[in-house]
Amino acid sequence: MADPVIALERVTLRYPTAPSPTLRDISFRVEPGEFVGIVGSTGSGKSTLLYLLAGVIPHYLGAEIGGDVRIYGRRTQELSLARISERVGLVLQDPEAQLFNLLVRDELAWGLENRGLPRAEIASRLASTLGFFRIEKLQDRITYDLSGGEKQRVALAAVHAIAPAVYLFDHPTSQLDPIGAAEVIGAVRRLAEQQQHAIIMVEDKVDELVEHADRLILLNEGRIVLDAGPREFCLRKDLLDAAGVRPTQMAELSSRLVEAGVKLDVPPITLEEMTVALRALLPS
Amino acid sequence: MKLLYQFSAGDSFLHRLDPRTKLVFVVCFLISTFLLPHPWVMPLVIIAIIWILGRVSPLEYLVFILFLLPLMTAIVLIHLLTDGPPYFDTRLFDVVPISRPGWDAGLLVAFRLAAMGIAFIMFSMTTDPFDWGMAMYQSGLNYKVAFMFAFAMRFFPLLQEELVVIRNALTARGYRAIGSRNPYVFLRSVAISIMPLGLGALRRSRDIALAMELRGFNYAETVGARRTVFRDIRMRPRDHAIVAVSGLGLVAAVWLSVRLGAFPEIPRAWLVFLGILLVLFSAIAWRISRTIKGQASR
Amino acid sequence: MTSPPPAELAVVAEGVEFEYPAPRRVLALKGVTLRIPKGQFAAIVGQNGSGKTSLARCISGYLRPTRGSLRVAGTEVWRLRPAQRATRVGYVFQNPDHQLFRERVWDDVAFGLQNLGASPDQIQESVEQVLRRLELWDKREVHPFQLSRGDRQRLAIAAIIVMRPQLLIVDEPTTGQDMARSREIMDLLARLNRDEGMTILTITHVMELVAEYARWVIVMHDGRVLLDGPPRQVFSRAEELRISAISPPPVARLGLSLGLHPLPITVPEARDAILRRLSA
Repeated sequence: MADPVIALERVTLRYPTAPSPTLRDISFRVEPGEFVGIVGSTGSGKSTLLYLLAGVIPHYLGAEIGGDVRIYGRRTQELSLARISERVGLVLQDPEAQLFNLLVRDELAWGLENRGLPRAEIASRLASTLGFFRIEKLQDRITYDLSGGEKQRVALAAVHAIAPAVYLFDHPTSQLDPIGAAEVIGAVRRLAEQQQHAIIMVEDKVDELVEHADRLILLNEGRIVLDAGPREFCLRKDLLDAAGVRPTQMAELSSRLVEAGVKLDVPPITLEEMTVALRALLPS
Repeated sequence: MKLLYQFSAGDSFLHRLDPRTKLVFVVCFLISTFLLPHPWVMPLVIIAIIWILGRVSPLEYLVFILFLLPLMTAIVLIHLLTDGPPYFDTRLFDVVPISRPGWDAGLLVAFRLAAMGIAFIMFSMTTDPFDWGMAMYQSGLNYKVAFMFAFAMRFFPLLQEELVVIRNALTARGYRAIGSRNPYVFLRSVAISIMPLGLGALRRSRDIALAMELRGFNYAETVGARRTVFRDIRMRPRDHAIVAVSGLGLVAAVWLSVRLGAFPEIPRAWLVFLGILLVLFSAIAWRISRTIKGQASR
Repeated sequence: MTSPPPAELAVVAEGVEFEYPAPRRVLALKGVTLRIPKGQFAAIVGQNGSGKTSLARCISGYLRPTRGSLRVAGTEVWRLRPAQRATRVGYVFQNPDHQLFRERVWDDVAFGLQNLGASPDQIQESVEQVLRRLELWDKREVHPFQLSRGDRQRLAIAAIIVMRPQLLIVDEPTTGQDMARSREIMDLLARLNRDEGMTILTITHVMELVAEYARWVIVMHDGRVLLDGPPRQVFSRAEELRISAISPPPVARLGLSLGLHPLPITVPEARDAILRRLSA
């Protein structure tokens, strides 16, 4: 059996200036091809966890770490950030903070230039990334003129050009309008469909994660309190309430209907499921 | 609105020239301007060049020209009032003498200044700041320095937009000084805008630095590899042609200047200094051409 | 520091057009006509580029309409000096970092009142009141840069409401925040609306919050008002909403596809509507 892509074993993390640990006793694994969502209220430690997976902690930001953080079996503390970033890509929250070149195509080539790849290789990866995300028409655009959604897609493409095995997303749509958010989710979905990479996404709203993730992890004050598939996740009202997270509107509605005695064998958590289920129950 | 007459994207002849070519041209143009005696010619020449070869109409940088006019007027006035005899017959307020040579000298300096300023913005308007930075990198400038320079330019538009929001936010707090004509009050309003602009930039810069690090900004150094240059910045035949033309133009200007007796008298010490500069310049040019040959073969 | 006499309508817009000056030359508003009554809690929604921000900026007086008339409490706000404007219309911008002007929380909140010429005693009293209300009193000596995002957002709001505007415009208070914090801010706005009669205009993308808090929705599309009315009414016009890329909250979409009347727009309403149907 191959190594899991990511394996965390009893990880504890405390920032030097913090009075208490930000992450406590975290253990979980991610297999190749899995799409994992991480949810929690502000301060629950989700971004810190992501930074840990990206090697940002301990190599760029300092913190005390206990336990094991492994990427493909190797401990991140033993690898350099340069090596880790070849295998683990991170897309950040702010669309303005990830593009530094003037033209989009230069931005996509930039990471590869930094790594000293031969020009022919850069050219071919550039073409394949532009084609994969269908953003060929953006390649000659000036980066600061792009819309928020376009910027985030280019940031994702720039990471894709480096061809990591793992993609980490830190609230990728939180600063975007609905159209921009939809564009970015579309790009992520295209990535997920390939089933080749491990995708880990931190978000505040559960709605998109529920539609695309294989499983969701709930963090509360630095601990993992729930690690389950979307349906089971949405229906654990007790844990979600305690963590300050709301499930999808449909999941909430399901819970209330079930409480009121409505017979829903498989409580719907998406709009499609709910529509189908209720159409079956309601007199026409 | 363009700040500092930043890059105005276009596809003209000037836009497609290598930044180094344009730099050579500007230097030759400047030296010629200081050698030739007919002051009004040079600004017109450079405006024409920008218009025809760069397809940028003077209207786009009208504000800059308007800014130059009071400066030029001030220079002429200063010369008129402070240079020596012979004087004009009329006197300012019937008391202050107005110098005749001052008129010529003032105009000379004023128009040369104008030509200089417009030549500089020709460069900045037709040169992609990234190409500028990367051309310097190819000529031997350290990558990180070149990149930082180019990268700073990319963020100007964003800072501009943020500044507008900040000014509006100040108005929202009842702050009266925005748009004030009083220079002291205006300066104070600029000072108070710096804090939010700086904070925003600071916060963003942390994310930027992280994103850059993650995409390998320090990779080459850490691992000991060599950075690839994927961008296509090369001196093409037309670049060599323009450099040649600029050089010839400079020679012609020197010859004309000597012929017309307008060549400035340069003390011996300056000549020695100029000679040293020339040697240094040639050495750099030789180094550049070597690096270009080296890079082009990758 | 006197307030202007109240008027029945907080905002009256007639054929408002706005074109950004050269070199952009974009016609951002192409003829907006609307009325917002005093004391209303309204949401302006629309995709980026629909004109919602331009409209908000015209209402607050930063932009002067190139055509048409726009009055807030009977006055054309762009004519007023900043100090007078601030007591009529308050504007909280989207990014709190752009609104921090002093090195201590207390000073930042006092800044606006100082510009308005309030006496030191008035300032003392008002600032304390607002800070306590927004739970920032304990942090009054802190440098704003060190506050969390949620606190900075509240600070930005505090600094504006301390000037007691009649109309408060809040630009996307929920971007970059989790739902719990977003709700806290909306609760705060609702309290201001209810307890002080402040007219609230909020620009937002989150339809769930619009459904829960707003009593009036203005949908902008392509520089015009596409729809406006109570949330229930607006969300039921699904076909028209489609053009504006605005999607009603999931429970509303459910209600539309099941034909529930009245259209539920929150979870409790949906629950009740479904239970009623099932028992019918």
